Amino acid sequence: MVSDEHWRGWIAKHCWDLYSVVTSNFTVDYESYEKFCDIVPKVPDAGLFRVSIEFESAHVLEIREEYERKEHTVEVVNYSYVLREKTGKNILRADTEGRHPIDHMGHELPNPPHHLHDEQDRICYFTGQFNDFVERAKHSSTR
Amino acid sequence: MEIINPQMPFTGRPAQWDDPLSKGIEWLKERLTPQASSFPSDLGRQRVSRSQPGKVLPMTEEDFIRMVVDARPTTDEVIAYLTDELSEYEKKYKMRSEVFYDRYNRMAGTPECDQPDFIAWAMCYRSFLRVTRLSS
Repeated sequence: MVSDEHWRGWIAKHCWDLYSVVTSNFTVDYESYEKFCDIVPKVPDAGLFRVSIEFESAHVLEIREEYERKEHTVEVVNYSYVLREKTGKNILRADTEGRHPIDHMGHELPNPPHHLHDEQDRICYFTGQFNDFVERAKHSSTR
Repeated sequence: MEIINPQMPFTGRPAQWDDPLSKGIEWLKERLTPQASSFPSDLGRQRVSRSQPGKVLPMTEEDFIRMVVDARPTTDEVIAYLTDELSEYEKKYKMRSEVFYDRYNRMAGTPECDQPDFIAWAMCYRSFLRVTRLSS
């Protein structure tokens, strides 16, 4: 099993990288940064990262990831990324929940359980990479 | 009292600024004072607060990682981090988390489970169970 220091360090670096991807694509309030700095120290003990980041564009990005300590590494075992309007309406989301063997066109998904719900809540292919979700979210939020 | 000559264009700058040394000092001051507009879009490079102009964030990536590695939150703090969210969902759906989680597990993999609130609630409750089990 990975050491406690490795576990904490991995999560810290991973969360920092997630946040950096967000801030390099969106304008983020300072309060979100403070919230982020307050939350992350608790993440290794909870095994769960969850944060809502508000954008100046009146959108909110919710990031949730569950981590598990393995023999030689740390894994993101579940995730949920949601882009929504501040009013609460979901725009785009990706997660690992539910059995979705095919996309909305009837094509087999190559990497279940990863999938994305598009703007019409249709099931689409998703790589499972947070960067790809942010790219798509950026596009959706500027429409 | 300063007399303003209407024939001269008013620049809004005191006359002493025409002195090259004063100009240089003012130029430096302007650049050394953090401005609201300089909030980082790129975390870790610039570290100036927007909501509190003048406040410089103390974190670089290395500082941040060190802070997290060295942090030792109490079990109560970690549980509070999780129960905040659990309480919100319990109020919203008028259901206790253990009841929800039992139903959620029975419906696992179905489209009914694939709702943002349910996914978040389940993830949070799973973590809560793990933390409370470890601490008992």
